[in-house]
Amino acid sequence: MQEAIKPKVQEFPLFEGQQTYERITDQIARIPENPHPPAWTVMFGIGAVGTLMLITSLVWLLIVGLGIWGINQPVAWGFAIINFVWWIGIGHAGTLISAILLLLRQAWRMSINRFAEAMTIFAVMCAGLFPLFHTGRPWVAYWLFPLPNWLAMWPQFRSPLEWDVFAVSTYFTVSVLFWYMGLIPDLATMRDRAKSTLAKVIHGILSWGWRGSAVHWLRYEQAYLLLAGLSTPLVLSVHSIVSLDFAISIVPGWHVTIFPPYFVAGAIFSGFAMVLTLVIPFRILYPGLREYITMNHIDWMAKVMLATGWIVFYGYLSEMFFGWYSANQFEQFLVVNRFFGPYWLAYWALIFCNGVVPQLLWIPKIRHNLLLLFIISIIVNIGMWFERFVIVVISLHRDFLTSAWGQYAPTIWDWSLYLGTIGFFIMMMFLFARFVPMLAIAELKDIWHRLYHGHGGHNGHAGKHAPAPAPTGKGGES
Amino acid sequence: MEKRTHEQGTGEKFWRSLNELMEAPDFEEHLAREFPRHAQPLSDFVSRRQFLKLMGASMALAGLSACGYKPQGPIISQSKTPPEHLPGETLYFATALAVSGFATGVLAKSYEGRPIKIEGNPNHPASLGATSAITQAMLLDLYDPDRSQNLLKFGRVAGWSTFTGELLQQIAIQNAKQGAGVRILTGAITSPTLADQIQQFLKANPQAKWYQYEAVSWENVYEGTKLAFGEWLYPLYRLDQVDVLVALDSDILYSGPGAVRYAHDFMQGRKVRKGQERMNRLFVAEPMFTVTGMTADERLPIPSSKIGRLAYEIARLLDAPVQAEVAGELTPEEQKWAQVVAGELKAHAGRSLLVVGEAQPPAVHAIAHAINHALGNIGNTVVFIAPPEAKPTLHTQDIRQLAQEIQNGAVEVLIMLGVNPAYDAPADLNFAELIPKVPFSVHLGAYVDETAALCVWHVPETHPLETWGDVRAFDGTVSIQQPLIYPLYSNTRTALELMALINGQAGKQTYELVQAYWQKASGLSGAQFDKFWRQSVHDGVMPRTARPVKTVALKQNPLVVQVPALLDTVQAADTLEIRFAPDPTIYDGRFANNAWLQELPKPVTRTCWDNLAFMSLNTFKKLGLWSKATYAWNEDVSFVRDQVPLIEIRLDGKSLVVAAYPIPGHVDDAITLHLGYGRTRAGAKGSGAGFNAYTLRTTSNLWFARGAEVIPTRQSYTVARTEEHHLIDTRQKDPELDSTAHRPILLTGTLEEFRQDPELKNKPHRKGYEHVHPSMYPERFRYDRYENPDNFRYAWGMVIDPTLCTGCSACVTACQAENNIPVVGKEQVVRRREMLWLRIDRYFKGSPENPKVYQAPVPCMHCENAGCELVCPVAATVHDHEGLNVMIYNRCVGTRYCSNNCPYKVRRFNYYRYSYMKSPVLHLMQNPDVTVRGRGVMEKCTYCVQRISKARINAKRENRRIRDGEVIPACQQACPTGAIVFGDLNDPNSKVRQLRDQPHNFAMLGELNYRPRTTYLAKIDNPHPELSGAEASHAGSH
Repeated sequence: MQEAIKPKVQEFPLFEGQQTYERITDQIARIPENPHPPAWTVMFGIGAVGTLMLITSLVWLLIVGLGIWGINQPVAWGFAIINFVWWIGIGHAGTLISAILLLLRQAWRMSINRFAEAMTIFAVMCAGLFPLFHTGRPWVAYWLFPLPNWLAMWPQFRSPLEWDVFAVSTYFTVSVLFWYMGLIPDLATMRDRAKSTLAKVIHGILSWGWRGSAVHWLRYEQAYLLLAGLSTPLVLSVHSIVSLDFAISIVPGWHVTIFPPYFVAGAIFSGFAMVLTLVIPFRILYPGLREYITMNHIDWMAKVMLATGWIVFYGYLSEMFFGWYSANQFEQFLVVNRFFGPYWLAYWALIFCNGVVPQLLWIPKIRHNLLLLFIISIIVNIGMWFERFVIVVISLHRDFLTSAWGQYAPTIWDWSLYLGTIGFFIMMMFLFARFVPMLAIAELKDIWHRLYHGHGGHNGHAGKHAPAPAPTGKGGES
Repeated sequence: MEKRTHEQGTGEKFWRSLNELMEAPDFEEHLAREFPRHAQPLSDFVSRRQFLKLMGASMALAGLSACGYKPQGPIISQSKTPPEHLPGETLYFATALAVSGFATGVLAKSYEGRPIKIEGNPNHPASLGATSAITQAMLLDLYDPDRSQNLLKFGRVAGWSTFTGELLQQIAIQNAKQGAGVRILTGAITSPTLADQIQQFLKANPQAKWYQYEAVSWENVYEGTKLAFGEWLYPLYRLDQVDVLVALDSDILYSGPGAVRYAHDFMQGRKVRKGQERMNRLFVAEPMFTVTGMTADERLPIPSSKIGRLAYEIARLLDAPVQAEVAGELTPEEQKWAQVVAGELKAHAGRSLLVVGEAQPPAVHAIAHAINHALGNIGNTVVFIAPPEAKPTLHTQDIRQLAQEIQNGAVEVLIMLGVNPAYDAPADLNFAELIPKVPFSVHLGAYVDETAALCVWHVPETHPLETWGDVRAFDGTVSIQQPLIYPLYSNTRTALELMALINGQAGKQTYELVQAYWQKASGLSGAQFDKFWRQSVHDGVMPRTARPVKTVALKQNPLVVQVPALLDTVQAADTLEIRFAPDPTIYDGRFANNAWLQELPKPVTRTCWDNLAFMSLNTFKKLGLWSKATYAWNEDVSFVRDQVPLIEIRLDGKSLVVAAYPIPGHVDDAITLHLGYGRTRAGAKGSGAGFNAYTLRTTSNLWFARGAEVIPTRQSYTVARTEEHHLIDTRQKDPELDSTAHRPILLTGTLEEFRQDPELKNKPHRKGYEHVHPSMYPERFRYDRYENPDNFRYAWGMVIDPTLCTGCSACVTACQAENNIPVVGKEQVVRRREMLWLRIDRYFKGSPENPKVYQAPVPCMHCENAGCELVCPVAATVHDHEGLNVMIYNRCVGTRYCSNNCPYKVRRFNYYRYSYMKSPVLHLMQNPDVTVRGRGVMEKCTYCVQRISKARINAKRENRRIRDGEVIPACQQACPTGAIVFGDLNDPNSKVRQLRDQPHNFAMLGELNYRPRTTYLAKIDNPHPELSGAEASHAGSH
């Protein structure tokens, strides 16, 4: 493993500034230990208000019914499904970074994986809320699980919504396990550094008696690799199955065979955009992080966005092509309706946000301009939201029989629930930043060790510290 | 309520002992004032116990005397159950429901003593087993929680003793003056018993007067026959004998007393089947699409004011014996149309008919009579009878005279029975201001309406399903109305009871009054009368009471008629015509509080809960409203938004602000306004809906007027409609395809095409349908694979013949009544959440100036490969072994994926708790055989599975197969024309199978391979070769 990583990484610095093991530990672990900066209070407050809005929206939904939303016949799915797919997509970056990039031995993942995984978990939490509460009777939504009952009544396994239940719940479980597994050594570090008894006890319980022995590390590495292997198909399967929610049906605009890869690419695209959206402000809020999430990390993430953005854009183009090539009047109309129909704005917003704007990322200067990058990442997030809007609403509102055509407009409750989940997400991210080491300390040290202290490294591992690699240019090894 | 007590002040009265108080004669009244709720033991809330007790008693008596009952007197315990009364079983009772006095015979379905459904009476001439949507919906009126329940004096609850005292005192004073100050105002009365009571009063008080007023009356028809034949006559059309029907501004198939029968009869000539390739032809000239116009083979949009000119032109071409001075010119198209129509009429002389609508002035009716006379149609396709009303009259003249008399102070006692002139009288009479001038006014009505609010006394009216009565059909046939239920509210009275009270027969029950009248009228007595009575009540029609056909002769030959000056007005480009018409669902406003009718999409416009100013697209554009109201990316594909502009219409110094709405096929420079909306005191549902067109309607402009001015306002108005898009495909690229998106939805063809190729193979619709989609999966549900040996397997299916569908929507309301379908209200319809399981799709084809209309009822298709079943994660919608796509409400979690994957979009979702009814009285109306759906579950058409189950139980008991025609779903039952046929596709002899095997049978969206069990026959029409060609080139010029 180490040998494979080295040559690649040597060209790119993964750290900025002078690092020592102690410094890495201290820089990251002291964030939860120290009092939080005032900006944290502001952001947490915003998130908490959003969460309250979320709770209000859900309570009112349960009291009154789905009628408070804008959905109708024919557009029986609206914001809930759009937001579900959007959040699930956002979660994908975390899993991709932690699992696939681990298996591909991309060392640069180490500095952002904890962060991205947390994002995944919170995004899936937000996502999972929607399919549950979008049902007409959420109190019986547990019927979607194959629970034993005296009627011997099973769920209907041919329905993609049923597959969804398994896909999303598995995804959430594995993501949480993966995240928590990775946290254990760091929690032990926190325990060891803790000054108050309470912190000691809590971290002690959470770190499961981790002592850092070689056997611990061996088991840990094995389990981590196994979980990575488990997660890898999930990256592809979850959003493929989400896409089948649509592709299984006969609705023009849904009944599309390219949906699985197109959805997965879109998910990664939006996931990386969300990581950037979060990382850039966090780097400002916690300047210590800049040493580990370098401009190069940001540059790579931007490049991943550019690549997946093109896959997604290819999907749009092929949808247009197949609409025409199908020689089917319903499919042809769909394309025309997307271009010029009542929701043309949503479609062209999608093309602008996901097709045009990401092309700016070809320019290295823009990839290194944090403000522009932040704006682009927000635009991509909006674009991906519009993509789901286009798929869900435009396809449904005008399908086969013109007599049954309709219109859809979200209500204030649609918005409040959506913004509420964003608030919840922000709150959770800031709680995460407050209480958990945001970066994987152990893994960073491991990388540091392998790159600069490892076998064949010129300084050995006797405790002397290597000179810090230059911020840019070649790595420290010669 | 507290407030009311305080205001009254009389509530502060002191008494010395309770006894003193209770013995006081006005104790009842006092009690009612203090505790209005206690004044009505059977009010809104009827306790189940009390209810069953009363029903038990009435049912027991029903067993004794063929459904007779004594509302008062000793209650008899049901120790012996009448033999026909089985718990859980429904019984049918024949009765009749009347609109404007004209009856439709019905069979009311009674479950444990509550009427729960109205069905047509096959014996009745106006029904033949079918009904209109209005008749279906009259059930809801019975249970309407907004019904008036209390006797009111100046709007306050009062007691009967006071009312009776005051009324009889007034009558006594008037008796001395021979009734000089008494005026009775009623609607059109056909009830012989009621008319007899009124006549008794008039006989005793010769100076008193009886006026009748209906906002929509037949006076022009009567005046027309007077012009032609010298007397008031009522025409009866024999549309089953007609080969060519020309309807001029007449909605003969939908509106008017005989419409259900006429639609039935007319469609007998349009059942196009293989080997039966003939069809009648319908020409319609009208300003705005009506149901009849939508059915037309050839239609001419023309202003109402030009109909007379057109009729005269046809008469001239036919050398009909009529002479009139007419001015104005017909356009070349109208001229051509007249020529073709004249030619067709002549070619089918004796089997043709020209009818004119009730809005046209008498002279135009006279022209029509002359034409029919010239063609020898009189006696063949049209006959005349004496008017079915007890006292035919000219309603406008009546109301004008009454207004004058009130103005002059001649009216001291005004008794208004079931009318609402404060709302619907012509605006120039200012009737609402006149009523308070009458010192003693009494209003009998089912609602505390606009008139009730102005009267001294208001008496709540009994619903016809609660009481005895008699009423005539359009052909004069008498039906005895019998009560299905004890009056829900104890204070209600019928007009008959009120007249009996005035006539000094207080305490007489309606039963006695009606029976006494018929004993006298029939001349029978004893057992003979009993038999006659029982038979009449049982059958719902009284034998030999239809009015005899009169032989008529033209008064003069040729007729010389004066065409009113209005018709001479040359159509100037900038004078707008206003046309008033009764609303297609709430009629003249009397059904404004009927939520079923309010929510029923209007047959032509598919709007509901509103009336709008309908106009052509050209006029809409000309008035500068187009850009405000529509979304369009180009001329070809556009639709009207929910928000339409409000306009102010000014006519003869009166003005009305109303929402403007463009509708294809409307004649240019004209606006159609439907009456019946804009009510202020209709009840919780009707008040405030729509715009009051009566404010523009005056005695001189009763039906149409020219010279209206339109001023656009800056405001807009939200309309509720269930179909948002119009045509708007003017390109004519492929005229066979549906509008907007060129999609083959309905298979259409002309009779000529059908003759040449009954399968209509070359139509685009067939392209996809012909394709066979083989499947690797076992096709368990294919009806044609349901072969022996398991012969007991049913394969339920439905075939709908759009050729026969007029779009009258009776099926929709019938479905609503049968299946406990909730009403959601305008706001929810705007948000497209209407719950109706059955909808009628309406498509336009051709130019927006004069398109063709295609309609089809769309229920759940019960697909053999149903997409909804595949995507439900909890198996809440599954297939049963007989091919029904069944919905398990209990299992549904409400993901709504089934609806998304339904290409027909026939599924309905309970976004809110729509079925919740705050008022317990509405619970009585629910059909106990159909589950009431809660919030958050999906629902849809079940093919009336409860009726299938019932038939299955009966068949199993007799160990036989269910017979063809034994299961009739509610929609099929209500359909006047037989457009819907349901049955067992596995039975090669069943009607439905035979229709399904017709060559022109097709599946809607068949290319999707859902294999729907509901299929359609091609919509066949019979255009005239000369006109269609002309229209095509006309349309091409756009």
